[in-house]
Parts: sequence; C-alpha cells; structure tokens
Amino acid sequence: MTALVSIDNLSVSFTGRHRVDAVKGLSLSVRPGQAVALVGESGSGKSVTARSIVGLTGPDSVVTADRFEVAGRDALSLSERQWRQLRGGAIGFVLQDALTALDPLRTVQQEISEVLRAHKVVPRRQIDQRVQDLLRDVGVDDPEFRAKQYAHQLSGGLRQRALIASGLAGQPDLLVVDEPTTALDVTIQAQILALLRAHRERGTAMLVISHDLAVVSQLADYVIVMNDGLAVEEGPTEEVLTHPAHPYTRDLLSAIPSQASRGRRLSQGRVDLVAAAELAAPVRTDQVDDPRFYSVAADGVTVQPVLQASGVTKFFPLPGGRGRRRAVADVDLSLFPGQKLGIVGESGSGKSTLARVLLGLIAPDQGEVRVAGESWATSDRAAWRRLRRQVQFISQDSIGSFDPRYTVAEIIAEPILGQLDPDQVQDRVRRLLGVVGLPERVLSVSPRLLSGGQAQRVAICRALALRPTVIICDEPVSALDVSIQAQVLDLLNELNSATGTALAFISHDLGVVRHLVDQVIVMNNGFVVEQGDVEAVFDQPRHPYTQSLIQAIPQLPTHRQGEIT
Amino acid sequence: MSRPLRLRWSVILASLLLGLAVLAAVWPSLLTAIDPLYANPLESNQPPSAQHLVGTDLQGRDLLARIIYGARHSLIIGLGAVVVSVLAGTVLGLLAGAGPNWLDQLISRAIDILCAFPSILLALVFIAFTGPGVPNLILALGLGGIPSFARVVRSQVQVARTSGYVEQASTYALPRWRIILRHVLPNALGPLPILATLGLGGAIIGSSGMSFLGLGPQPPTAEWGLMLSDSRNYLRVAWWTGVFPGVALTTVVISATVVGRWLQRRYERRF
Repeated sequence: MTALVSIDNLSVSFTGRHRVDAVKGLSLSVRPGQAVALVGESGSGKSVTARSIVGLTGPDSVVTADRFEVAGRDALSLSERQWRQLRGGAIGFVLQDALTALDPLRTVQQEISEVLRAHKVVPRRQIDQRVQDLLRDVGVDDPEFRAKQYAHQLSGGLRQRALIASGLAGQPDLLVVDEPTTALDVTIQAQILALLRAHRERGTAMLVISHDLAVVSQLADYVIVMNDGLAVEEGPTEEVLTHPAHPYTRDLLSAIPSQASRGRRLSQGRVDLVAAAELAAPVRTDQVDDPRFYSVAADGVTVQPVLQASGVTKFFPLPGGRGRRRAVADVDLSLFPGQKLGIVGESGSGKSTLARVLLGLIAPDQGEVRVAGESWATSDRAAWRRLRRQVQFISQDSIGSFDPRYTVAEIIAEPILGQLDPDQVQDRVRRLLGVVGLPERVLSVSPRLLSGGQAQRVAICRALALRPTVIICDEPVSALDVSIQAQVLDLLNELNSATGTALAFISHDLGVVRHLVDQVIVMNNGFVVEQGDVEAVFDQPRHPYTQSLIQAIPQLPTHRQGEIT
Repeated sequence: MSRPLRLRWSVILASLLLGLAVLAAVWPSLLTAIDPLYANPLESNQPPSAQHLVGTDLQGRDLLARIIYGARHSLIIGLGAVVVSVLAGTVLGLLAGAGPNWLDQLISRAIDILCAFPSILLALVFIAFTGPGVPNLILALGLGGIPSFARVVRSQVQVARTSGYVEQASTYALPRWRIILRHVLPNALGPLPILATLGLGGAIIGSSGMSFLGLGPQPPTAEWGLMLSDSRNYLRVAWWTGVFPGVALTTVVISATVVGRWLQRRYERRF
C-alpha cells in the first residue's frame, strides 16, 4: 500500500526578525493503519511538523522538502483551496488545546456539522443524526443533549472527545493528534487513549504528537524522537523505549519519574548540600529541647508534626446563591519534620483548596490547622507572624507569583527584607541562588524573561529564604518539560534531605508523586479516600477510587520490566 | 521579548511641539521680547507682517506674544485639572478596589452618578457656585475627569489583588497595608501616565472652552480661549486673531494625544 504521508528531508523555517529553523531535514512516512508518534520537548519541532502536514504553518514560514506527499498529492504545490479540501476530509486534525480549538460561540452540533457540510459526507437531512452518531462513537453519553452545548459548558474530557469527533467527521484516512491528553486527568486520559486505540484498530492511520513517552507507548507502533528540529532516533515503539540507542532518548527516558526511578537522581548536576543546610535549614529542629517540635515524657521523646490538619472542612458558595459546595471535607493529616507528603487527586478534588487552608491563606469552616503545634486561628499577632514565616509556598505558575516590576534579586530578598541588614540580605540572596544552581547574572533580570525551569528555581530560592519548616508545593512541575521537571524534582528532593524542610507536594501526576514522596493522601470530591506510605498505597490500593486512579497510569514498557537496558 | 516600537516622525514632531509649548509656558520671554499686554491702538487689527509675525488684535497687542504667553494658562489649567483627576481618581479607585464591599458599592455608584453628567456641564455648575478664576477652574475641570481614572485604578487594583504575587507576599507575614503599597498600588498605576497624557488634551480644550465663556482667567490676561472669544466679532476683518490662537490650541491638543497614544501602544506591547 502507498503511504498516506511520505516526507523526505523536510525543513520548516520561520522568517521573522530572527530566522528560526524549526525543522531541519526530517523524513517520515505514515502507512494506512499505522500510528506514528513524534515525541520531544518544547521547541523540538514536533508540532511544527504536524502543522506542515495539514498546511497550517502560517504566512511567515518557508517549507522545503525533497519529497512531501500527503494523501497522494504533492503538498508543496497545493493551493490554500486544495488544502482546505484535504483538511477535515482525507486528514483529520485534532489541535492541542481543546478549549481554544472550539469556537466559544458555537455549539458542538454546529462545530461538527460544519465539517460534514464542507466535505459533503452525508446528505443534508442526515447531518444531525450523523453528529450524534459521531459523538456516541467517541464515548459521549447523551449525545443529543451534549450536541446542543457550548465548549465552556463541557468538561475537559468531553471537550477533547468533541474535538476528536470533529476530527473524525470527514472519515479521514489519517488523523493528526497534537498532545491529545495533555491537561486531562489520568482517568480521562486513559479513556481518550482507549478511544484513539479503538479507532486505530478500525484502520485509521494516526500521527501522534506528544511530549509524554508513556502516552506514546500506549498508542503508537512507530516512534520518532525529535530534538532541536532533528530526528535523533526512530524505530518501533517497543524497541526505542526499551533499548534506546541515542543518548538523548536515554536521558529523556531516565528523566521520567516513576516507581522505578525512586531513590535515584533523574538529572545530572548536584546540589551543594552543606551550603543548602547552612542557608536554609529550619531553625534547629533537631534540638530535643524545642517544645514546638518534640515533647519529652517519661517514656521517651515524641516527634511533633510540623503541620497538622484536623477535621478541616471548607465550603464554597455556589453561584447564584444556590447553596454551597463542600470543597474540602473533614481532612486529617500530619506532616512530620523532614517528611515528604504527597497530596494527589484529579481536578476538582479539593487539593488546591486544601493547600490554601494549610497555608493559612483561607480559614477553614470547620476544624483547624496547626503549624508546629500552634493554630492559624491564634489571636496573638506575633505568634501568627511566626507561623506565617514557617510555611512557604511554591505555586504552579511561579512567573505569576513574581511582582512584574521586581528583579530576581528583589523577589528573593523580599521575605527577608527588614530582618537582616541590607548587606546580609544581598549576601544571602546570592548564596541561595548558588544553592538552586542559578548563575548570578539572573539577579538583575526581570522575572518575565526567565524560562519555566529558571522561574521555578527562583520560586524555590524565595521559599527557602525564610528557613521555613514546611514548603507547600502546588503542582510545581506540571508546566515543565520532562528534563526540566527532572532537575526541579531532584533539587526539591536534595534540598529536603539537606535541610530537613518538610514538603507537602500537591500533584495530579502519580508518577511524580511515586518518585518523590514518603507519605501520600488521595483526595476525591474533597474527601481523603486513602492515606499511608506511598509504597503501600500504590502497591495495594484499598479504595476503589485509588485503584482506578493507579490502573489508569500509562505504563512505559521499561517500567513494567524494571530497568532500562 | 517584544520588538522596540519604532519611533515615528509624527511622535517626534508631536514631542517637539509639546516641548515648545512647555518652554513657552515656563519661560516665555525666551521666545519673544514683546510684552503681551502692551497695547498700541494705532496698530489695531494689523495683518501678519515682518513686525508682527501673526498680526495684532483689536487693542493693537502683538498676537504672537499673546499666544506664547497664553500657553502658560492653558497648560497650567490643563495639567492642574489632570493632576486633580489623577489624585482623586487614584484614591477613590484604590479605596473601591481594595476596601470592603460596601465602600466599593458606595464609591462605584457615586462615580456612576458623576459620570452621568457631561463634564463641561459639571464644570459650569461648579463655577456657578464658586465663581470664576484659575484655581476654581482647575477643580471644576478636574472633577469631570475623576470617573475614568477611578474606574481604571479600581479594576487594576482588583486584578493585582487576586494575582499570584500578592498571594505570595501574604505568606511572608507582611502587613496588609504594606502589600497594598508595595505590590498592589504600583502595579495598578501602570496605565495612568498614558491616560493622563491622553486626558491632558481634553483638559486643555475644556479650559479654553471655559475661558471662552468668560469663566476662566479674566481680561486682559493672555489666554487662548479668551483670545478666541475676543476674536469672534472681528473674524471677517481680522481672521488672524482667531485662526492663530486656534492653531496653537489644536496643535497642543493633537500633540498630547499623539504622544499619549504612543505611550499606550508601548505599554500594551509589554505583554
């Protein structure tokens, strides 16, 4: 059979003020019934390649190739009109961001029927029926009702399904999917992957773009690893993932946090542990005479939790005064000095609300949170201020947590300003920056110019400045590339062991949690459904929700077998 | 990183003209040696000539000198009005944006009411109660500009208040007022210089309008609105007495708007 896509030596450049060579000589082919994956980190050129196959690289781009055939036609000579015939017809395209890819002013019905009309897939009378069939086909319950809804009324999973349905509407021979499950919860991700697999088995060829090797291993039978516009390695998926030949692939695989990576470093580079301990260790928690952390009784010494929640419940009013919703329900937890606690759950499970309650930013409606034995509800201002400095926060969007008018030096110095004299502050900022592995020249830089990984390091640096006993991290690595995520996780892990600062680590990524934490609590609908040692919870989950969550984690073949060969 | 915005010739020209107006306001004797109040009845309504570059008015006073000296009043009243608007608008906007809900409701509704009246009418009513004169005129014109500044500040304060950096700052045990002064207010004031520059043109027109009606500086002061008012009965015989003050006024207003728009584009490009 002839290939649906057949490309030799593809190059895509963008000519703006600076010339950017996004793809530099890539060859690939997709045969009917085959699923090919392009994997790589941001900037590797994988999305640009996908866009070139549907003719959507934009007016500033220059596309050249020795051969570029799409659906049996020479793609380099296609007019915009011919492209339109191809897109949605022979080639279905599912864009990355399901929220922005659907027109907010049109219903799902209008969105999908447009494809049907444009390509005259079915007679006009049957369009409504076909839309519903398509939606049912991608696993949407009650398609008649859903078809009348707008994008913002749908959950992330439903939106992605609607988008896939519109990609499939033209009965394409080839479906191009760009990051099909990014930003979806793990159980929804598993459903979408199953759906795409089912279509593949029915004979639709696929080109999958993803940064997630585990997702790719579930879907593709051939994988091309891209880095900096070039294919560094390619081959059958199982082969590439279990016996990576290229160092880049190997690094990428070993950077993925999971059960297998526990206890080992994910990246190169090392933290100066002595400096870290000296600069950021919380105020001497190992001294037995400090009653805030230890209580001495006749039968020995007991360690006090540094962070303790008991019966914490938080309600939010529903819009329009229609009662209230319980965001966090009767949560008990204890975090001991130096410990790492994972808080996992899907979106809407209440984990971010819990983080804000633990941080003392919002007061719980019932129950209380104690930091080193003292409650946030204390009326003593001085005591409250002491608590405040013991619990620090690292958020997912660290760039948004920096005042845009400040420089990096001012951002890190702010918490300790006024506690030390200015020279000492400057010195401390400089040394803290060294501990998180950033060069001194970023001190005078505006935070908006930092990369994602640098920004997260600055956020860590700032959190350490006050020598907190607890750092609460809300999804600190979920916006980062795998290799950068690996560095940040290693940094957090080593700082934790060097300084004894306890971590409360909130994440939807079970692999990350499995890699990093000692204790874990699993949240669903505001309730803690299960908690305990991370090994116990992951290996023998008792609650059905935890079981379904762990079942849904896409597994890499290497992780099933244990080690990378 | 955004590209630096190209400085267009129109922006350079507008800045130069605005600079010239400011120079005339600060140090008019540098631009002309003639006394704007010296009247020579024998030279009444003389057309432009080598001696009087843009002619003379009914009293035989040199028109160019009067235009140059007149810049001071127009600019002072315009700037003063904008300063009043900015100060009052910032305070009200900050209180509404950062204060308790009832205060927000109170201030916002008061601003809605203020906004319902045309600003020139508001100024007329104010002058009617307080009497003419420069300080009263500044207050009167400033009053009408308060709503736009207060609304912008209020919404910017609300954006900054719910931002990640304010949430973060509250984890350092900083007092609330310090967070507001250090993080909320400076970030909320970003667009104000632009609004102020854009508002300057409107305020200068307003001030000339009020002087035209005789509610600003009193004769024989050199003031553009007053000069326009004086000229209107003689336009047929001495067109220059109306056209040149009008050109000066229009030039300054357009220049302020051009510079303001440029600042605005530059600010928006930051994001």
